[in-house]
Amino acid sequence: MANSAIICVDDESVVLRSLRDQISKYFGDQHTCEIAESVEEAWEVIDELKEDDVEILIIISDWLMPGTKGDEFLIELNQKFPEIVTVLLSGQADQSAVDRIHQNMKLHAYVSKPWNEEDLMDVIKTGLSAFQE
Amino acid sequence: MFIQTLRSFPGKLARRQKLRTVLVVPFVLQVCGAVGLVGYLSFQNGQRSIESLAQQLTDEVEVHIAERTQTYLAAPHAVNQLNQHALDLGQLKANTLNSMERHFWRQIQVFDRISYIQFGTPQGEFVGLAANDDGSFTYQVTEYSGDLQTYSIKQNGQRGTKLETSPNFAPQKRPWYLIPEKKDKPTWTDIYAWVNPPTLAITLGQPYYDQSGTFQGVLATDLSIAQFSDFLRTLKIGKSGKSFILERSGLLVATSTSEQPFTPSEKGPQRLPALESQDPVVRATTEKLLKRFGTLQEISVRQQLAIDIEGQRYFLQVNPLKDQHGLDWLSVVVVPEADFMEQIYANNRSTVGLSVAALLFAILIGVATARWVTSPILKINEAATAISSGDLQQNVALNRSDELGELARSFNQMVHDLRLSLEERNVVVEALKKSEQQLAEYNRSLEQEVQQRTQELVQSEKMVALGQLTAGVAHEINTPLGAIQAAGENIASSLEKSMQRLPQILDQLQPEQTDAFFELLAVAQQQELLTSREERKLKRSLKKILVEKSLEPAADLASTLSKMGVSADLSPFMPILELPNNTEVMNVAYDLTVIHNNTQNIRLAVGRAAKIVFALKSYARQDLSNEKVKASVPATVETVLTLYHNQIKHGIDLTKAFDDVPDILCYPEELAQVWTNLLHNAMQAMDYKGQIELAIGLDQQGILVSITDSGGGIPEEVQAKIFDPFFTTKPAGEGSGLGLDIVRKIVDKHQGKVECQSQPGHTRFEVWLPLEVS
Repeated sequence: MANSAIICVDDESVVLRSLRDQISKYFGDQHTCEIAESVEEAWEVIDELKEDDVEILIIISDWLMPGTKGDEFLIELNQKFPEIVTVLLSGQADQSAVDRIHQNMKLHAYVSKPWNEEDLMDVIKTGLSAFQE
Repeated sequence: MFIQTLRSFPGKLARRQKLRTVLVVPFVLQVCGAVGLVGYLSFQNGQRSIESLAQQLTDEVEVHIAERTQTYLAAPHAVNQLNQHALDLGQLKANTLNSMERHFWRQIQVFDRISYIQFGTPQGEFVGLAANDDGSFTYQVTEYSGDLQTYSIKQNGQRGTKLETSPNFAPQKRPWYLIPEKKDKPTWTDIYAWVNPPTLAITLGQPYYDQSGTFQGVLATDLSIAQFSDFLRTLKIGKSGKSFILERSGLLVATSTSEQPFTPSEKGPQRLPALESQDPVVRATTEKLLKRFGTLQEISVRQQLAIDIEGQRYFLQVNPLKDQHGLDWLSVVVVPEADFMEQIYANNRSTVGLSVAALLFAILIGVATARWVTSPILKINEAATAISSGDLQQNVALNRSDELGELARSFNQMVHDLRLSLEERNVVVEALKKSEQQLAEYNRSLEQEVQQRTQELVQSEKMVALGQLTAGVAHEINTPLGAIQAAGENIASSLEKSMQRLPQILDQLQPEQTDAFFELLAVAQQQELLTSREERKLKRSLKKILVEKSLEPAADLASTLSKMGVSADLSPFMPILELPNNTEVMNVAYDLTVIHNNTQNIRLAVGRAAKIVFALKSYARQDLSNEKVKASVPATVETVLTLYHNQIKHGIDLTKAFDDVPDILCYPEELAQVWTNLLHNAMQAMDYKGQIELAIGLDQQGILVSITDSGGGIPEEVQAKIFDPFFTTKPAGEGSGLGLDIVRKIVDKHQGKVECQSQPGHTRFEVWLPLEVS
């Protein structure tokens, strides 16, 4: 069992499971993939992983979600755990909204839905390499 | 106060009356006042002069009566006196009575008012001369016979034939003898009635003493009182004034009226009390005197009074008549005021006549003056009235050089100017009309433009709503698309991996293990999708079990099993879990499960995408046919909810209470636009966080769709305006202000109605749609 994790946060379980399958396929041996259907649950997962001494490398989050929105979550996460790489994965096509997010926080990458598997994996890889540096 | 009333009078009059009346009436009133005042004063003066005139007249009459009475009463005294002197001188002898006959006869020729001259002695001897009613004279003597002998008298005074003998005559028992004898001085008898001729008479008796002072008898002279009445009748007292003489006892002595101061009866004439007089004036006058003085005895001096008899005013004068022989009467003169007033009345009549004539004349002059003054004014007024009713062809023809003529000229000038300015005005009005028409045309084209622009705005409003939806909708579509794409790639890679490793694994497995392997696949494929949280919980419990069973690597196995959704009962899968290459076997099983799971994912995602595409299609389509179709109202609501699924899902607690309602004839796409607007407003009002209650039900008025949000509410002051076009509370650029206007227009088109109630935390829009639309 790998001692590091990638967390995916999205309110759509369909999306989450697809993501997990993709990530597991690529990084299954090196990093586990944890999924959370809401920001609230994401914090639970983070707590659990910290408890198990699992290092959290990357969090991929949707933006439009019930309750806390993705950007708010990522900003808070950034404050608590600045080392964690953040990726925004959103179907939000409004460019101005994306610009706003870029202005307001340090984001590793923004990936729009529908995403290309390879592009996403590249984003994660670059994120991981940035982490390793 | 009075002055004020007087001052305001012409004004008041003018308000009610015509100008001519105003001019004439005060004029006539003035004349009336002047004439009336003069008449009244002259009447007053007349009245006063009448009173003094009446007084003067009655005074005169009284004096006359008194003088005459004195004259009358003086005659008997003179006769007695003469006879006494004749006796004293011895011309007559008291003891030779017949010597007196011719003496008496001569005397009565002189004193024609005397009716009887006589002498009686204590011995009962008597001689008398009577002046009879028929103008003849007779001697009456006793001649010691004890009887009274009556003789005719010849021309020369000689005794004629004996006419009559009355027996038992005793002169010394008569009142004319007894009273003077007793009083021992000349004394009047009471008035007594004379039988033939019937009359009243009074006698003055005088005792006679001879030289030696011896009483020889009584000399007496009778006076007929009828003469007093005759005299009174001759007096002219005004026109119908009356006079009469009264004794203090109230008996009449004489009267100027036609009646006698006595009444005939069988016993001879009886005295007449004034109170029983036939004459009402005599009777009433006596009554008034008695009433005034109590008894007639009280009247000691002349009195003048004014009295009312039968409603007429009388001047009354009463005067005591006395002489030295004990006579004590009252003379009364009474004159009706009317006698004097007649002249006054005549004067008054002529005054009134003259006044009326003056008045008529004044009115005539007044009317003429008024006409002269008013007719030009009336002419001008008529012309002005005609002008005010629009006839400007007016010219007041007035050839006068006074102020009115000037007025008429000014008026004509004014009319002329008015006509000119009106013509100018007509030109202006014409121009104005033209510009009004132009303006109306502009308005019409403006209206058309506005209509067109509104239509565009309505369309753009729809596009704005659509634009607002786009972000969400894109997300909604991209999400399933992303999932589908990922799932497809996952399936491909999993299939590839499992195809490579499956035959190898299956080769290695014992039949028991193969069964367990397929059992695991079957369980995994039947398993419902777990939530991530459930999955994590399952993973923990599986890890615990695996650790207990000392199956390694517990964490990896638990992770794989939980992802496959395998429940805590692991006994059927023990054969493969206990394998040394259990991880590899599990991974192959998982890959196979992934194929299944992702296939399911694709189905789900495609369903989602299809739903959204359908909703978008029904939303965006225009109602081109413009014909109503039978449709379900809840379905139109659902379409909109699908479009807003994303926004609602994130942060909005939506409760739906949809009853079964019948389909209605409607424009479904337009209704969808209604719900879009209302829902969008609701979400915006609560900043996409809070509760929305959607309810559809049947109501008496039709189908009731209500949308209630927990937003901040609409301020009360703008609630009345929210349905107005272009009214918006949103920041510039966010709303056109047409949303609710469109809602109302669409609802109107369905003959329904829309209402709103709002307070902070509770805003409710209600839309009624009738079941049967004509």
